[in-house]
Order: sequence, then structure tokens, then C-alpha cells
Amino acid sequence: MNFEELLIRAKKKDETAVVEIIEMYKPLLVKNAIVDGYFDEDLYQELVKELLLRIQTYSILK
Amino acid sequence: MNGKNNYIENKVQNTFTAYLMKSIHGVRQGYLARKNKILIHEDYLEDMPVSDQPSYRFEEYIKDFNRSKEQFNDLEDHKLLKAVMWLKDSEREIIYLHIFEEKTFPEIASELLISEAAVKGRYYYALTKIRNRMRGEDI
Repeated sequence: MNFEELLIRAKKKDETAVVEIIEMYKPLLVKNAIVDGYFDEDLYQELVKELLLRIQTYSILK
Repeated sequence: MNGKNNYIENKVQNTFTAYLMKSIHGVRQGYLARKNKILIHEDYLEDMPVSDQPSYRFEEYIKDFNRSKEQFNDLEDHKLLKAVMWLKDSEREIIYLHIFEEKTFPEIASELLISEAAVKGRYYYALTKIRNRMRGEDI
């Protein structure tokens, strides 16, 4: 399945698709949640929240 | 040809990733700024200087009190001494601080944690009491 279909499904609040996207972007989120060499759980949660929001607000241009 | 198809297929993913990275960067900056702001205003109890001694010990207080008594005892006029000792402790303390330690009213006020006006009021009231007492015994 390509990413566009996955994103469209996630936009329709398909739970498995959302989880798959979160898993896909986990390394990026974890990398950005590191503060002074330590993993910040609160910041990680903020970033996951942001990802969920961005899935809904991103508009696919053809 | 294959490479071009690959690019078109990944176009959505690439733009989404770029979009996400931009907003994640903003969230991170905001979070760190907030955290930093809290850290500046936070004092941990563990970091405070620890001492088993209270800041003002009872022995010191007694010593201060005895010292003030001794100096009042130096007053030659026995009648005046009696009048002073007849005052309340708080009034006597203000008189002691103002006359023997030569402290100003604002200094006494900050030391006793009361207002300057209150110090002045108590001081002059105490003087009036002494005056009246001595006059009364004269008669």
C-alpha cells in the first residue's frame, strides 16, 4: 500500500492506519524528543499529538 | 523512468514529512521555552541551605534581653528605671533599640516586622506613659 492511500485512510480516522503512520514516524519523533541527551517523555507525547493534528490538517495536492 | 515514478509515488510522503518536520520543530521550540521558563522560577527544597539551627535561637534572645536589662539598670534614676520596667516588653524593646542601639525608626520597623508608623506610635506612647507615671509618683 502506498503512503497516499494510508494517509487518506488515516484522515478518515482509521485506527490501524493512524497507528501505522505513528510507527513510521516514530524515529523522527524520538529523535526530536531528546533534550540534552535525555529522552523527554512529555515532549514525545506533545510531538505525537502534533502528528495526529497534522494528519488531519495536511491537504493532499494532486 | 522508474526513478521518476518513484518520486511521484513518494511525493505525498515527502511533502507530508516536510510539513510535519516544520511543525514538530515549532512544537519543540515552544516546549523547551516553556520548560526553561518554569526552571528559572523553580526552587527545589533540596537545594536550599540546610541547618538544624533555627534562624533565631532562644539563648540569643535571652542574651539580648539580659543585655537590655543591664543597660537599663545603669540608669541612675531609680524612679525612671521603675517606670521603664513597668512598660510592656514590646515598648521597652523599641525604647532600647532607639535609645541605646541608636537605631532609626525604619531600621527598627524592618527588624520587628511592623510598620514605621507603628514603631513611632509605640515609642512616643511609651514615652508618654513614662512621663505620666513619673509625674504621678511625684505628686
